[in-house]
Amino acid sequence: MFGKIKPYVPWLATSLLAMGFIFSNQSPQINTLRQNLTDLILIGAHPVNSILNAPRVWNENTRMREQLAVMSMKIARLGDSGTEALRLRRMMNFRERSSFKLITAEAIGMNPDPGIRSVLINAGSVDSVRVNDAVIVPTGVVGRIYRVGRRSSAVQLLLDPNLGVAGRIANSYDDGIIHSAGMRKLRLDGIPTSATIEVGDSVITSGLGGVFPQGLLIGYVNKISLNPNRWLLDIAVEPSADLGRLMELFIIQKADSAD
Amino acid sequence: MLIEIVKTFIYGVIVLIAQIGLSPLLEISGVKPDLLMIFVMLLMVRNGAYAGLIAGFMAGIAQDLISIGITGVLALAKSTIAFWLGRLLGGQDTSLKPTGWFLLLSLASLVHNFFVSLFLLQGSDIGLFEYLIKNVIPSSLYTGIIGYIWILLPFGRKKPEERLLSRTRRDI
Repeated sequence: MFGKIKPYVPWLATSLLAMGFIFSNQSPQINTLRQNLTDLILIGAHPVNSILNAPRVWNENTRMREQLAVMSMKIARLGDSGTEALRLRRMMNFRERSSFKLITAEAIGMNPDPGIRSVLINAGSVDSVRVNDAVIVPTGVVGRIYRVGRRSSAVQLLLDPNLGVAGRIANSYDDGIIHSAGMRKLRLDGIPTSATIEVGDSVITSGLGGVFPQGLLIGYVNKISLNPNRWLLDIAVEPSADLGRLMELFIIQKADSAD
Repeated sequence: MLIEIVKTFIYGVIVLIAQIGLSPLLEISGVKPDLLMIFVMLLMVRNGAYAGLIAGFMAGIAQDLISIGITGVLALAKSTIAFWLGRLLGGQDTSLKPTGWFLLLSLASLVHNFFVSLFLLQGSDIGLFEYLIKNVIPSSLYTGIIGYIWILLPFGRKKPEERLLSRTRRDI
């Protein structure tokens, strides 16, 4: 096919084309192409995912039924206390929490690029998902919406090297930034040595970054060491959510987009 | 010829869907294999440098468009590696045994992942060395292992190994 031309010319042509894509990365045409291709590929990926997850869903369903039965009994027993708690909660004015609306979505697959930590979900602009909406599971924060298609979205996970989340030690109120530490681990940067932190402390979102609401659980401190520069701590954080096994996720719709 | 191209394209789409759908199952401690890299390298070994170039570009651009990274980076990395490795191998009169295939694939994957990480870590606090140790090297070896297992499987062996072992005088 390329017999009469110099061997490297086709390579040069594809390289220039690839570089053209690199330089037009943020263009609206590329974004439209990305959204449409993701929507299309998810049509194929969804059944694969459903089949592969069937045994896990079955087991989880059984476990959740058992938990539901146990919880129902507990609720019945704690009826009076529950009413009291509700009253106190109202008194404490939990406006912050009630102003959020959750959108349910299913994780369909992982990012095809091994270096990038993201998942593809089956909710998009038709479900009112917006870029930068926070994504959570019942056990903690998962990440944020990075790109929105019509019926699909890409979620940038906490484990992605390019995502930083404003975090806080729940007990001491020390603020820092949560980053990926590789291998499904996180680290909390920017905490001074004067902070009073213990292994096992909860790390929550501080809400300072503007993307994640305040008070969502990120993980737990599992190692504290002195940074070589001697005035900051190196804090390893174990994510509370199992970021490698995501199935059903919740997207937090902010108050201004909830209506 | 046209049927062969269409078949290869369909296989490519299947591998892409597998990469998206199977990754959660294949992931070990946050490290995933690059199934499309295996696919591109198999095509390169079978059909030569130009096939590798086109397959690498197509597979890479599909990955780029679906992922949240910079569009074009994976296309550039995959097509370049497949093309130049194809050229390099084309000049030799050797047959690749499974171990050779594993080494070739791991090396190609290592160069690919290293190149991609240069873009990925722009603006990130993670050091390149740390990322190499924790992600690039494990991911490359993992891709090599999956590729190695693939050609040892009965359905994977027939064509790829045949191609690998018999590929000596292919014109690229």
